[in-house]
Amino acid sequence: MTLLPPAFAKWFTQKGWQLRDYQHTMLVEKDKHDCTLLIAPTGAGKTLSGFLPSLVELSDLNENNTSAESKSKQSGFTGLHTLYISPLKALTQDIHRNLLQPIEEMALPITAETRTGDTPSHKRQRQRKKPPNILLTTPESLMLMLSYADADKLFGKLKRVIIDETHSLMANKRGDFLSLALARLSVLSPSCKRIGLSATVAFPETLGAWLAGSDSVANIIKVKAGEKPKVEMLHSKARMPFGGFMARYAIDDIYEAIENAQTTLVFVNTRAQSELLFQMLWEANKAALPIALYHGSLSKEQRRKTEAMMASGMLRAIVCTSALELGIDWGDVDKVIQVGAPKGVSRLLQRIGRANHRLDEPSEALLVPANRFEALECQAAITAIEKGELDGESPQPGALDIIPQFILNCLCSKADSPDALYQEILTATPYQGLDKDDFDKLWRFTQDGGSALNAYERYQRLTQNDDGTFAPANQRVIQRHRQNIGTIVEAGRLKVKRIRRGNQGKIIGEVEEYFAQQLTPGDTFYFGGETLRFEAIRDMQLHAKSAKAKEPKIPSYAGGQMPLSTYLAEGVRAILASQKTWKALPAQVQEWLKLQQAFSQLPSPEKVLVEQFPFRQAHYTLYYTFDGRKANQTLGMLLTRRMEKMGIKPLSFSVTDYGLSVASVNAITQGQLQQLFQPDILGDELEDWMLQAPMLKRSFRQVAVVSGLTEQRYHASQKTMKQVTFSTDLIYDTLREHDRDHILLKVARADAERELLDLRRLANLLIRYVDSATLVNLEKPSPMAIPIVLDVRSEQVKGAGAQAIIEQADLYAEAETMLDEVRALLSGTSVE
Amino acid sequence: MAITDAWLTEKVSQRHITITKYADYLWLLDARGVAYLPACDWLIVSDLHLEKGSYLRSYANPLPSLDSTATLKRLESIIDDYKPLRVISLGDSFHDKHSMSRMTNKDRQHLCRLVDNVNEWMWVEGNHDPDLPEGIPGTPCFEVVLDNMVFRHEPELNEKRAQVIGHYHPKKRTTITRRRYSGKCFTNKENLFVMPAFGQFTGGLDIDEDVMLALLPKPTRQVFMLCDGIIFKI
Repeated sequence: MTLLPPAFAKWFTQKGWQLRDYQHTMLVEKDKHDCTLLIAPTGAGKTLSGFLPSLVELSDLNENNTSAESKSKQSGFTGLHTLYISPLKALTQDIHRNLLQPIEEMALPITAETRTGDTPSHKRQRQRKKPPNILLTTPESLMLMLSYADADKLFGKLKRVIIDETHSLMANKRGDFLSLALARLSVLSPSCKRIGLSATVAFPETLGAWLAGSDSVANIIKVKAGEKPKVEMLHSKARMPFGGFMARYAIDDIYEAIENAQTTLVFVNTRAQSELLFQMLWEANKAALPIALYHGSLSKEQRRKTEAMMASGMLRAIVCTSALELGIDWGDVDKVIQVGAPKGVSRLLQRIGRANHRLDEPSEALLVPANRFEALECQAAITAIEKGELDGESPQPGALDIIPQFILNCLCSKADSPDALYQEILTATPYQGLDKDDFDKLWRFTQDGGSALNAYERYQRLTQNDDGTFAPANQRVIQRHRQNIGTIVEAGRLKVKRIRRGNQGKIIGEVEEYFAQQLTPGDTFYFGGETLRFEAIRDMQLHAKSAKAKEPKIPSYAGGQMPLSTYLAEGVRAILASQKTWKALPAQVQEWLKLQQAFSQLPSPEKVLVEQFPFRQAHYTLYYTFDGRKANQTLGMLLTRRMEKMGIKPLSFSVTDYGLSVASVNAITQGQLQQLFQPDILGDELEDWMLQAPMLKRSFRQVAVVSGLTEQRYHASQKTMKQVTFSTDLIYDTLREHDRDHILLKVARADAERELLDLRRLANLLIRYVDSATLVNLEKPSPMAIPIVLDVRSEQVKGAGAQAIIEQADLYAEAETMLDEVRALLSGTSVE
Repeated sequence: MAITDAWLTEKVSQRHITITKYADYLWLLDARGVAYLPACDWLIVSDLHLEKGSYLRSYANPLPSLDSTATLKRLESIIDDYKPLRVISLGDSFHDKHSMSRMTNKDRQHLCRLVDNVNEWMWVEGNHDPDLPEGIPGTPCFEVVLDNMVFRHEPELNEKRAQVIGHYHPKKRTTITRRRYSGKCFTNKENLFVMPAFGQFTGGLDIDEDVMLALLPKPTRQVFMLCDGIIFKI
């Protein structure tokens, strides 16, 4: 028997394609495994492989059917057969296009549609009544559909669910969220098979475990990687800065690279950087090359337009953020330029994979470090790619704040009992260790808010039926829940409207509320590659007109503040330790390292180098730990805590993957340093700090929104993030004082630990470095310190240091003189 | 009067209290958000906004109602320190006219006990509480006068005497050597003194906003900012 139905075989021949080995395997074994994880490098035709079993199955069913009803174009299988889930909205559109192509060319009677937040409501209604055979959607939209009362009908016949870009869903809340949705799907359709499509990852088995759920095992199919990409670092003749985050010095080199290539993708790490780089390239654009900008804050229409232009080969380059990192097929990209630190090998490979979407040719990439420190990171990444080393997230227990949302979601669809839902949740791998006690508390919170909040009608969300099952208390609860589904708490956003006249104009994208609030009418800013003049904020929209100005502001995006963790710290440390490797580095970087050696010391694997110097009216100490951002974050909190006790008066600290910088009023001595660097700071100080740190409040804010304690959206009105912040901060304080054991406090704490701390790594670091920290006193920042101290994202420390600064400004003497007068009054009246 | 020389010296040196002069009286400004006049043993507190939490909650804002408990607890510890002859609560003591019906019995008893233990408790009326709720001890009044000084909730335009008011919930943001500070504040000029809001859930109005600048123009004003338990002059 031939594997492919005749129509498929013909189509493959027409295309000049052959079934690849793994595609063959997937077809042969399509009914054998409950769960299949396909791991293949980009360009291997992954997505088609994912759909192939479904397409063949559907067309087979149809074949049998059409023999009976020969003329009907109606598919033999009615209802939803395959669900495709993509982490990116944009991806669903693209995949939809790519999927329709074979369906149309083979004239298969299969319906395929997309369903995302952008889908108009009449189409959604229709999809519920008459679902397509294949539906392409996002985790959030899936969860919403699962909350409908007819979810069992909609998904009851589901045969396959395809999860694209599975690797991006490990160890984050979005992935936890989806794992629960998958658990639900398995309840509604027990025979449904899962197919995961993933880029190459460091730990395939862990990813397989995530995908399969705790009660099943994934069959993993690995496709051999193609040619290793050719990656080079830019050796520019222009002077490379010591610090800073924008590669302005290299703009001519970047432009030249674009000119020499056919089509280039220029990746940067944040949206703000993309705006800036785009502007700089435009100024350098002497040959008027068609260059475009693409990031997640631009409006849908604008992004579609750029995508279409790119697909038809009209563009020479796109400056883009991670929004273009995943899956979208771009045709003829032959060069990828990464500007700024590569932030991890896997991420870099994903980006490089955008070039030459063909397996047999090596991709070409150019790395442009923004400063000399980043050059080290670029070199470490190149070495890792040559050696074929990958980095990856290790699995983490699922985030608990999603549980109340999930409970409510299930109950919106159908009344159920706590025990049944608990068993269901356990089948999602991130939650297989969920404590029953925690679950019960979370259930109680969902039911009535828990002990501190159960007096409020607003939190009476569930009622118990006579048969013991629970259901949402009323229609309002359901409505509220549906409006607030989703796990990613974003900083408040405002739509940007470019005004032509009156209030008329076009929405061109979104900026963060925080940025909008600091604008005054008349201010100009870059957005979407053009200069705009701010007019006003009306109805959650930022109104602006086109303008010309010399120095516009750049919008700030939360993405710009997001600490990207790199796994390259080890590699950087290795480069520093071995002078032999330096010759691969640009000459300027070598010179900078020698300068560091002469001025201070180079960090070595055996000792922690600690530099101290006066800077900006404070004393800065720099700890070169090379242990990753999370461990450094924790270390920063603990060190400042202890410094506070020792009277060193810390002011603030900031962290990178390589080290930690602490600003304080007083300088530290070698003796004090030894006291600071002891493992016992992991004891009480950790506890103390956790309770007071602003970061716990921040995570509580997220937890409050995700768990449904506060809602960002109600009816048509969206709360501003400032309003949400106001109320959640108050609730946090009150709960902490009056209901310390409230489950949400525990959840916020777990969240903070999971996202921000790395206690195990830190403990190792402290043990390793007991009594081996070297303090070097300097007159000014060392060459290596500059990029670190220039990082503006610092955590402020409350306490004696902050007070010390106020005291300098305080007119204490004035109070002192009046104190005598008060004393006279006191003694006068006390005699009475 | 309960405070002693030693206690005050300690408090001033720790920046928990500072001293200023207004309308020929010496004022102790406590970083906890109250003012004390040692000459007559009066304690001034403003804008308690009791039961604001439960009020907002009735408009679907998810706030716990424990704000009154917290406000009263803080006030009690201050009264314990000063044991004043008279307490002046400078208006907006109750967030709205149904406040008392929402207050828990425990908080209600706590409030009554506090008021009863002070020799004289003046409830100055405010825009939120033109009528004192029933069953609350203490003396309601529109204003209190002391020599050439008048204590009322909102300022009156053609007042010749020095006024002490609440109502505005003044707040200040500032940057000192690259660090940002923000907090409630006392602020005054020659004939106007504005108290910070004391209530747990009271927000603030930046004194650099136009409304506040009209009242207290920058060159004429003094500002005492409250930040993390200490008070300092800007």
